[in-house]
Amino acid sequence: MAISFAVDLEKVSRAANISIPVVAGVSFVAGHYLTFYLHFLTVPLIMLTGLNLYYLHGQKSHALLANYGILAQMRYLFESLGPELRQYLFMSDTEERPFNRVERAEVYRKAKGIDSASAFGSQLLFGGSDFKLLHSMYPVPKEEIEPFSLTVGEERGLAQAYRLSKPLMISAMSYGSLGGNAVRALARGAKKAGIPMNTGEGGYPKYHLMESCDLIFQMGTAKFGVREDDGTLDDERLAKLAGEASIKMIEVKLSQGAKPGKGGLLPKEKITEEIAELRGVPLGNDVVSPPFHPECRDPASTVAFIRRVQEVSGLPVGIKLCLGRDTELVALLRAMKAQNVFPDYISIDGAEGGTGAAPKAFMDDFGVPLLEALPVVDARLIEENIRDKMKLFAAGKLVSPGKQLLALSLGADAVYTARGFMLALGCIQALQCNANTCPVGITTHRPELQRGLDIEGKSRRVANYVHALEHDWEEALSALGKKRFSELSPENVLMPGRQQGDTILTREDEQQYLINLRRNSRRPQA
Amino acid sequence: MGSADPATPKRSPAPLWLWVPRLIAAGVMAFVAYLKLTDNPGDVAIFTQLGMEPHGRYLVGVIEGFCALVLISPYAPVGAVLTSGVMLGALIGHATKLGFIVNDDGGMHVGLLALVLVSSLLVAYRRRRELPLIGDTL
Repeated sequence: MAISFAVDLEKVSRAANISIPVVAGVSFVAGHYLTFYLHFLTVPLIMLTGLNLYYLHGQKSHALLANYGILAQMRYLFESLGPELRQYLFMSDTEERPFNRVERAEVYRKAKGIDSASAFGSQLLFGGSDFKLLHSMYPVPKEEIEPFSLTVGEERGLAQAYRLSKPLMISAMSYGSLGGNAVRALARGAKKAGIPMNTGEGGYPKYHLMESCDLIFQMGTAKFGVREDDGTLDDERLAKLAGEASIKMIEVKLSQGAKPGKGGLLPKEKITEEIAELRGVPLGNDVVSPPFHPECRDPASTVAFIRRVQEVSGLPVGIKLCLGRDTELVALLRAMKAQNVFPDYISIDGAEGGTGAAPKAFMDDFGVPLLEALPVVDARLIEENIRDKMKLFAAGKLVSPGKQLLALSLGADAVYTARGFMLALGCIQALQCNANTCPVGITTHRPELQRGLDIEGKSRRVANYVHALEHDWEEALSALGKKRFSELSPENVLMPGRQQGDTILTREDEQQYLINLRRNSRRPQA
Repeated sequence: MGSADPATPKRSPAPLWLWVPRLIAAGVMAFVAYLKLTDNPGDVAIFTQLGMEPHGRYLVGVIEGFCALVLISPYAPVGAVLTSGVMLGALIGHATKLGFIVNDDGGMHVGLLALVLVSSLLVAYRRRRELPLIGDTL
């Protein structure tokens, strides 16, 4: 009974395929007898006929074009416009990935210094599957909240121990993945806000160093900037780098949340002569870092390598990893105990972490998400009795104050975010970080695109973002009934239940276990 | 567009020798555009024969000049397609109205036309994947 208004696309396209050459012929004849000007129509139609013949009979790689001819091009046209159309017209405020409009808008407002109060109610679903913060019936007066302070490296009594005055750091983004302007805007913003910035694995951090903010030098698996020709560590170059006044800590990257088990990747589109020089790599090829450090082949050698980096650099040295198998983590912790060598911090990168470029399977299907991984790592450290030997950092989509506090409650002593700061710089989530075509000039080296990224103006937004977060943390601590960040614990988190092996851990079981662990251990932070 | 898939096949850069046909086509187009726009008597005669004097001559001259510019710009493949189109139009003119010997030139016009047509087709073919909209399907 249904009345069909469907257009028979096959007939339409067949009509087009016949009429294009016919009109071309008519135009040719008319052009001859009436006016030569008509050949301005004849010529494009002849060319279109040629293209259409190629589509229909000459090519085999596009079935649609072979079956329907040139009209099928419409599909490719719309498909190419799809992401933008969906983002601007059709996606709701909570639908986009990785960051929906609500999440992005919060960062934008903070970065612009606009009040981020919203109206009527939360846009999120409340299905019991999300982690939530549990407030106290007895909030703490804001005046009683103590300022944050965390000293990395104090466990080893390091002369160069590094004190963080905010529980937030700019996560690893290299010059290479970011353009020079973006790096400098972030670095200047970090300086203004008084937080450190991680250099990412981009070789000698020339642009990061320009703004003289505190830096955490990241040593990736390719060891750009500190490598010997065979990919092993060049002690001399590391010692020299560690001597730079701005470099406060060294981070050995074992794996990354967006691509755990795979090395860094910089597409050749983004490799300029300068980047090739800073990293010591050839032009014209993708730069793929190896999946592991040649020095780190088992727990014992990994710990020995950490000790070597600590000894050579004289700075606090941390490791960054995405949690994979729990048992391997425990083996690593035991090797640390056996050698009595501990990194000054472990940074846990959640599987939801960001990247400039990674294979889709690794982004989508590898690694433990942050809020699942963090309590596990915290618990293993406590079980092994070494929680007071090091700090624990967390990273992975921690762009909002609520998510940051969740991580701080589930074991982290401080948090990292990279994409939060990109959004503060004006990232519009165009998802072109790997293509050198970033429309807002952040992840591109093209001068005409970087033109729009004003270093001074954007650095103020970076600092604004940090200050607005600080304000929210303070309010949240008060609501949670905590006087200091170190009092945050799994007790103030609502955790969704989940399955582990054959047993389904209820939310209460698991949480109680974590809470008991915590009660019996001393948190490292004063 | 916008996908973060590093496995997308990468385009190899155009070979250096492609500058030869590119510059030949651009040079000839700039030269004939100059002749048309400066009322060269030979072109006036041709366009009178086509019934397009003088507006058609100016229009074609401007288009040819534009082609020359685009050919030496980063959008050379687009310029090459445009140039091929103009040459196709010229070919129609010679085939239907002008004949292949024009003003006793011994076929010089048509020879030049063929040279530019081959050059521009070569550039367009070798760099077809850079063409907007249709590049990915070629």
